[in-house]
Order: sequence, then C-alpha cells, then structure tokens
Amino acid sequence: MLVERCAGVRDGRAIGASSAAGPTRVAVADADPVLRAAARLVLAQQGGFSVVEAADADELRQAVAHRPTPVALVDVELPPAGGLAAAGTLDGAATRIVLWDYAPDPERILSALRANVYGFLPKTIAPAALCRAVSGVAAGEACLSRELTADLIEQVAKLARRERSRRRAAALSEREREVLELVARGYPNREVAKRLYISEFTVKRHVHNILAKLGEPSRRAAAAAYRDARDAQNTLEALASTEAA
Amino acid sequence: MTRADATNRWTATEPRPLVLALTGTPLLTGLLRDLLGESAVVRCFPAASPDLQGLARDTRPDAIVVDSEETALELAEVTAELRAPLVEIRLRSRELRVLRHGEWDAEPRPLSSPTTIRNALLGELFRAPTAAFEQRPALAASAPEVAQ
Repeated sequence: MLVERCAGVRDGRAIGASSAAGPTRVAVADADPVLRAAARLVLAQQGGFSVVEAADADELRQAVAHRPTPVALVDVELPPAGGLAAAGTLDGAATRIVLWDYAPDPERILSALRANVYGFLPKTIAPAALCRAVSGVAAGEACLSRELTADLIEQVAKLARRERSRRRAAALSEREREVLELVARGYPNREVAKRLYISEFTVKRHVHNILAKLGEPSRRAAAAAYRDARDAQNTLEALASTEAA
Repeated sequence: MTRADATNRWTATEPRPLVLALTGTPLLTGLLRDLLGESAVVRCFPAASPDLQGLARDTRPDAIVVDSEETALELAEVTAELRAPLVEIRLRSRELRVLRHGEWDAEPRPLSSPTTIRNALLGELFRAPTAAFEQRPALAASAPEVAQ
C-alpha cells in the first residue's frame, strides 16, 4: 500500500525542501494510517517534500528501492520487527533514517544512534519542528529534540559511570566479589562471614581492600558501584549476544 | 428533522459548525482541518492547556475531538451539558469512539484510515442539533428555514 504524494509547490512558488532538482523525497513508514497521513500532509504542505508512505518494513524497502529517498521517518514499532530492524535492511540505500516514537526512552535512543540512525523524534512533535528536523537530516545534520538530548546526555553519563565501575570491579579477586555481592545485599560483616565460612576479621580485611580497589569511601558506595558494574556487564553480554545473533 | 434536513442546516448558510480539537499530538490538527475541509471550522488547542472545560463551555463547539482518554474523561461532563458529541481518537490502539448524550459507543470503531475520523465527525455533526446550535444566535437565525 505505497502511497506517493508530492506537493513541493505552493501558490506557484517552490517551498521548503524543494530545489531545482525537485522536492526532497521522504518515506514515512508507520503502521498507523492516521499518523502517516498527518505527517505526510505536514511534510508535503509545509515542508515542500515529496512523500511516500509505507505501512511496514517491506513497503519501506520497496519505497526506497524504487527512487532515491534521502530521508525515512520510521516508527520504532514498525511491523514486523520494529524500526531498527527495518533500518538495518536498508543497508546500501542512501537513506538517512529518523526514528519516531510516542514516548522515546533514552536507552532506545542510544541503541538507535549506535545503529547509525540520524535522529529520534517524539510523535508529539510540532509540525514546524518536524519539517525543520527532516530538512536538517536531508542536509546531513542529525536531529534530536532538546528534551531527548537532555535524556540522552544523562544516559551517556550513566553508562560512563557503569563502565568505570565495571573496569574497577574487574580488579577484584573472586573472594572479594563474593564478599561485595553479600555487602550489596545489605548483610553485616557477621552475616557475610557466616555465609562464606570465614572469620569476621577476614571479612573486614576484604571490605577494606574492596573499598581501596574501587576507590569508594563507604560500603554503601561500594555496593552502588557493584550494582553499576553488574548492569554494565549485563549490557555488554546482551550486546554481544545480539551481535552474535 | 430528517437527516437530509440536518445536512442542509450547515451547507445552505454560514456559519459552519465549530469543531474543537484538544490534542496532545499537534500533527493531528492539520489533518483534521484537511479532512473536514469546508464542512466545519476546526479550532485546535493543546490537550495540556489549562481549564479545557471552561474553554469548551465558552466556545460552545458543535463537536469536540480529543486523542487521549484523560482528556475525554475531563470533558465528558461538559459535552453532555453542551449536547455536543465527543470523538476520542486512540492513535496507539487505532480505534475511535464517540461519547454522545453521555453514553459511549458500545464498541470502539477500528481506525483503519483517516477517513474514519472524517466520517464519524460529519456523521455526528449532522446527526442532531446541539445546544451550541440552538444557543448561538447566528447559527440559530440561519437554521430554521432549512431545518424545519
């Protein structure tokens, strides 16, 4: 169900992204026919783009294969396997992908940017902002709304903190990790000693070494760093399994 | 009043019915205007605007369009007062439902294309006179000759 629309000229004048070579072609790929039509209308009328609609990944592939399409606005949930997967199948086509979603979450945005996506927009974007964003991407810029940029910066900082913790945690011995695991669960030294069949004095020594190796001032801070390190490790393992698949 | 009479009510004379769109998805506003064309005047405000009930009471729309359940619930009472239908567009689940005379449609309609919205709105606008129709002097003055 490919729908082609072009309205690059208004009142006899070329507008928005239109040029001597004609309007820039944009694919709007979304399973929602209402949102597709709404985006098409805005991009065609206000931005001067030529718009092709696609309801799923297959239609997007066809749309991009037929004619050069510099930009594709793709729903994160595009059937059948999501927008990122659909973007992956366009390798080779010179199409810059911009994902959009109702409530974009920072982790998803980060994954998208890792996958060479040019931008991420909320579906609640204002019409003029959508036109500006798509024009920018067509001109080689990336696009991310201010709110999403702030979320992304926070997410990147969190990841950096986790990675730092993971590297420091790698310096711990097997026994120190066991002690830290129990400390992170909130157990006092006496309970840790009982569970690991070691003396309380040995536990204290391990905790002292753990704090020194992690560069943390307290048991609580060490426990938080341990959780960060564990999350970072899980993320790495998940990424490795995704790449292997 | 027959359905044909009701339809003539708007097409024979100005002014056109007023549709108040209170949405959280700004892209929808242009689409609504495009869908209704000359059939209605569409006025759009963000659903996050304060005092939506007051806005609806003072503008006396002939129909209200919203795109969230929260906004629909907030306006349910006012639409009953105004006897104006409320059309709730559920973009995520691709459904549409109508609140008419204080009662929701038994089943939401599948939102298979934008024309579903147009058809539902025009159907509601021409179904029966609203309080706004009777109470807005300009509308009431223009109506009798075609509505009787």
